[in-house]
Amino acid sequence: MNAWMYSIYLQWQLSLRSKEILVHFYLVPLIFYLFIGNIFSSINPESIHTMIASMSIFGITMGGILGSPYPLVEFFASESKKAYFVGGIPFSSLLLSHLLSGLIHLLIYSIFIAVSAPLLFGSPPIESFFQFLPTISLIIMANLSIGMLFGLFFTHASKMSMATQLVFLPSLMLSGMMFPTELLPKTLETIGLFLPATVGFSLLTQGAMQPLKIVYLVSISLIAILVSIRKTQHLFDDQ
Amino acid sequence: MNVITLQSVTKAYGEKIVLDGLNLSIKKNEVFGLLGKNGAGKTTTLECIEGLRKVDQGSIEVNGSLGVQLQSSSIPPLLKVEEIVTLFAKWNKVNPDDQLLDIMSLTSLRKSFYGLLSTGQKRRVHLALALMKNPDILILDEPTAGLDIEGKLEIYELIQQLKRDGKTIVLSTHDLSEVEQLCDRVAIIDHGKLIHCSTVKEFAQNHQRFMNLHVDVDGDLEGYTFDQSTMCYVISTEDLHQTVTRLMKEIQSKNLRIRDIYVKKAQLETQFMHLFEKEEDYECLDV
Repeated sequence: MNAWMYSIYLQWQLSLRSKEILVHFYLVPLIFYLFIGNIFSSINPESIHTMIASMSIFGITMGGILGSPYPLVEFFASESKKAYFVGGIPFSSLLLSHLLSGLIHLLIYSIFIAVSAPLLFGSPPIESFFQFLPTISLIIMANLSIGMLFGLFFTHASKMSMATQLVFLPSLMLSGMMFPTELLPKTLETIGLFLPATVGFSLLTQGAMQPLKIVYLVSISLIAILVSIRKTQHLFDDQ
Repeated sequence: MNVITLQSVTKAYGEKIVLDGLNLSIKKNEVFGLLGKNGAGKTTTLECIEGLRKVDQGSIEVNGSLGVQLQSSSIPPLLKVEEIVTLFAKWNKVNPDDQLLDIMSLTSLRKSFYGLLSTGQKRRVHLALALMKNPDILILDEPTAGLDIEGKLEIYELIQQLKRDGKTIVLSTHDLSEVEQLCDRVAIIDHGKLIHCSTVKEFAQNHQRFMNLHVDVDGDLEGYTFDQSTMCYVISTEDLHQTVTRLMKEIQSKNLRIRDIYVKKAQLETQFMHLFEKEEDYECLDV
């Protein structure tokens, strides 16, 4: 196993040992899914049609935006970064393994939702996993990339946690995953259009063949990754 | 032959100048001690040599591969020792060395999580990582800070062995006994400037004008420092005659009886403290 592969393997091991990952990627989203699934399907039987999309987007936003920055803040705010630097370990390997590990966790979560929702709540099953998996992967990457920025630009977990709520809460309320966006005031509906959660929800519910939205998510991911790489190249400049 | 040369190195963090035209040369196969008070610029000097910091002005030349043990580095706590060693080995294209783990007494800790190691064990892990590439030059930033006596002695033995193996070692420390015991040469930095650089022997000789007068009397001598380890009053002085005369008058006036009195040359530590107290007396030396 070469150094890159070993870094990815190790990041995966670390994520399995991390309580934050367990809580943000699995425990809370799955409890929320079971809870909300029961309530929503009772109150509004129509909600089962968007159950897979809304609960996938909820878990992805929670894991990507709220959960994934924690290990990065812990690493880059500590002296660990110096040990890695002098040890010749490139930070880009850390970022890549962080993204891939998060992608795998959130794919597992999303596939679980896609498979279980029809069984538990009678949701219509996914028509094509070949379309669902690339779409969901793109949505996950966009959220993880934004989470990566929070992880790199904040040096305190508490401040980072507050800042991530500025993305997470609007995503929850304005994306359409909880209730139709048509019910929102026009201004909020417009703001919501720019959230990755809204774009992702639209791709999952209205079909993946929306090039503009795909380009939007790809652009967000690329810009966030490039900014993150740039940030890691200048970690020691301003200290 | 110099393996590290710093020429007129200047480094500032914002408005604060940390290194102010620093010149320094470190020779091959010497143990070089870098001394200074907290905030003197020692760690910044080392971090500039290591490439962690970019210098604002001046130049740094390093001839040889570097192994670095940082002062306060850490590793993600949920990684195991063997995983850390393998990760660093793979990125440095070397095979994880079981012998190195043996030397560092880390074999039994292979499966332990880094976060559960003691301070001494963590330092040994970082030293093992620094030695992994078999570097020509080893930079150790306060390698024994927080260690017990046994841990310190192990590190001392290792440093001496590394010197015998032909390595150059740069050692930053607060512990002057470490300098006396391990170093060939010593440099003292204050406010980012080099205020002294010589062999340890020369340093001790040049500045050994301070004497410690130890007096044991059967009462209290107000205004003098009582040393618990020797159970004596200890007076550090440059002018022994004047100090003894004054002390005798005081002892007589208080009607005290002298039980013991002796004079010792002050340790390196005392010289070091006096150097900072009177640093204006010393010219900045370019070495």
